[in-house]
Amino acid sequence: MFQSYGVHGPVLGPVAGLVIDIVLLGLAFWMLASPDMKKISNILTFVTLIFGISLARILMSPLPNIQPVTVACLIIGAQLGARRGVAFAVLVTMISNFILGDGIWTIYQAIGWSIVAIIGAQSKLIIDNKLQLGKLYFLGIASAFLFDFITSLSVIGTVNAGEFIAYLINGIPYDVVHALGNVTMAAWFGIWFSSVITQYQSMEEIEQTVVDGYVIGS
Amino acid sequence: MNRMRVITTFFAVLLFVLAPISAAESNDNNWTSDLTQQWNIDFEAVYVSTKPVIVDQSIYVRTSSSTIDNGIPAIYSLDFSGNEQWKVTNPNSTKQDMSPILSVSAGNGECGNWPDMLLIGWSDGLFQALNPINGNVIWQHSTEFLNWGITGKATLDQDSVIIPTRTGIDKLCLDGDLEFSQQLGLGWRNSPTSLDGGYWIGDESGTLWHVSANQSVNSYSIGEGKIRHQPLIIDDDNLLIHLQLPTESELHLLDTITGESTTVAKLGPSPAMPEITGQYVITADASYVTLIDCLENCQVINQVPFTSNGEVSIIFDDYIVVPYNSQEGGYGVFTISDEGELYLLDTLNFDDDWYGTAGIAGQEVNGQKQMLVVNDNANLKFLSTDYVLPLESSNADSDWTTIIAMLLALIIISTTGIQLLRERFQSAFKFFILFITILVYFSLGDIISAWADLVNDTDDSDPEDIWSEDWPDDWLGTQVVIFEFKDGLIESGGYVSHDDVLQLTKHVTSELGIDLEISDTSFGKYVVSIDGKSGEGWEYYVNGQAGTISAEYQSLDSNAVVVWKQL
Repeated sequence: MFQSYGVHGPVLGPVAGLVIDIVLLGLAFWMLASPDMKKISNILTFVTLIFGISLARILMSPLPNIQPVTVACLIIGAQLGARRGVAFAVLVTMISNFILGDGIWTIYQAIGWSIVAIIGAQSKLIIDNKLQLGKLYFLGIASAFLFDFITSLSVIGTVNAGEFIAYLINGIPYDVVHALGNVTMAAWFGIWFSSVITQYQSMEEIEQTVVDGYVIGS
Repeated sequence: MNRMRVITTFFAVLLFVLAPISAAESNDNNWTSDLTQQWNIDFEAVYVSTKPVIVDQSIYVRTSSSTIDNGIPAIYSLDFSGNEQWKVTNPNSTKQDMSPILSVSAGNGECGNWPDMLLIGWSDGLFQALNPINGNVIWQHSTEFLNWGITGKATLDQDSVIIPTRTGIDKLCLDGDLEFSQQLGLGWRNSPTSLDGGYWIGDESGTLWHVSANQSVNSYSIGEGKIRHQPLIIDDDNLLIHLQLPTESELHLLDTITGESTTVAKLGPSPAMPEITGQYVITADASYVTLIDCLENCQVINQVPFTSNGEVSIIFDDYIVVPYNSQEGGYGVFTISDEGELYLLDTLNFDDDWYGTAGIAGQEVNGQKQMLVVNDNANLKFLSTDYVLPLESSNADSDWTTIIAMLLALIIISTTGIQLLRERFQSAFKFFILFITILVYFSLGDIISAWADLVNDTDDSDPEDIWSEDWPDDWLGTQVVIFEFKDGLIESGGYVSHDDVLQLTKHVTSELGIDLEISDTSFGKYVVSIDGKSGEGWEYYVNGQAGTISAEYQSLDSNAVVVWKQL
């Protein structure tokens, strides 16, 4: 089954791939179309995060189902909100899949990580500017299984119900590795990653205050 | 202060980890200290008089019996875990079966073609070519039986095999066709030597026979004794013969050009089968193991008291091992010093030691030494260094990866402990979870494979369900691979000992000259194309059941049928 459907399902033709890319890109920009994202510094910060995490995903691709994107989506969703979390999820999926391989699974991965980002935004992961590590571990484990289930849906239509169940059950060791990787990622980089985003925000706020003050002053 | 403590602990852990590695390196030349017994098989009331043979991933042993009440003489095929793969018996061969097993690789010559074979001479005169994979008889040839039949070692000569029969030699093409049969003297445990297109063989009356390429026969009387081994070629034109006399033995050098024979030395009684290593010849008898230097005229260098009348083995390049032929048994391990003298390096002893005749089989694979020891009582032991199940893919690189990973894991788990002691629980957890991740990463293949075996109902799959009548019988009980292209079919079988689908597929495609494109994914190796054809992907089936995991994690039985289907 793994052999016939590749990693997450059949490969797409060039036209279908292009359509998916356009739809995903449109979704990402629509999500980004909020007033505060018009600031250059905000955009630069965001682009840096997207490329940084995409690169991390590509570099970690030889490791079995270690996905740095999942924890990043949780933290970015919590820190920057659901809209930017979804945009981040979609763009990271697209960019990294340019290198790792595009297919029908790109949509499912984008949806999966978008849902993870929304969960991050809704779960009060940051209280008083402090990342709740225990909660992040728990969400990291749950998100791994949820994300893997969503991406597994990509094979529906090509397998019957029994085969789909077998596909899911055979994938459990990979889900466990994903969950373990998320906890490791959260333990080692969670606080640092969260503080990086907070720091950028603070700098932007200071900058904005200075600019506003200068304009008012003049 | 705390930092100093951490640094000290780090180096202590490092020293602890590196110490066994450096110790292992320094012990590398100490040949037996790192060899440990892995298993011991007692073939019960039969006995073994010739050394086991190792070919690829299989071990072949022959047992002997003077009465079938004690057991039927047999050839056993075992894997490296000691499990029986097949057994071929010969209830008629109730004399001393001591003709060594001969392995022949597949090939072709002027007289015909032949597959991989094991050549077996039986004491009832039967000579068989067996399929090393399943023991099936490829061809067989009957030779003369007068009280006994074949007891010596057959000799390979290009595309032919020369069989020491009871009364002479038979020359067969390796495809089983008889080329000629020549009557000579009565022989026992004798073996022919091929030299310049002719064959030399001794007999029980001390005569050395020469059969030329045109089958003309000459004889040379070496002395009033018995020649019970293969003559050794010295300096291209000379033959060294160890002549057995009633109370002693003599070493003779025969110039095959002039026919002149000279006595090199007088040695002890009941000689063993001599061996050559470089410029030296090693002989053994009931009194001594003797070193003879044949760089120029053969001369005895020195002798070490020992009792051995069977097979002399030279293993791991430098070690001469001879079985001790007495009730206390065991083996003497000899080597030649830098000064060119033979000395007893060590003795090998086991709980069930007994008289010994058979030599030792030894090989070194990827740095792992493996040794097979068997005594007259048919107690077969497998010894090895750092025992691991044989893996084709193991190599020096993976060894280093493992060492580095183990080092890393030890440092990480040590740090976890240190942080716990310092009550830095958050930090301890970070290191602990990293350790667990690394641990799972390195055992993931086994976990996935075991999980797939657990959750998939593989009991229902049987290779016989999809067995094709068109396939040769030789493939029965072996691993078979079918490539179903959209425009054709390739079938290949007769493979053994491949642990997973990908390993088998790689072997078969490599053997058949088919391109195999594989990519790495986070879910394991993915077969992209076979013979340059990718289509809409490839799916594999094992015994008719679709594979659910990467081919590299799908384990295989020894008789599986793997079908690769292009979608």
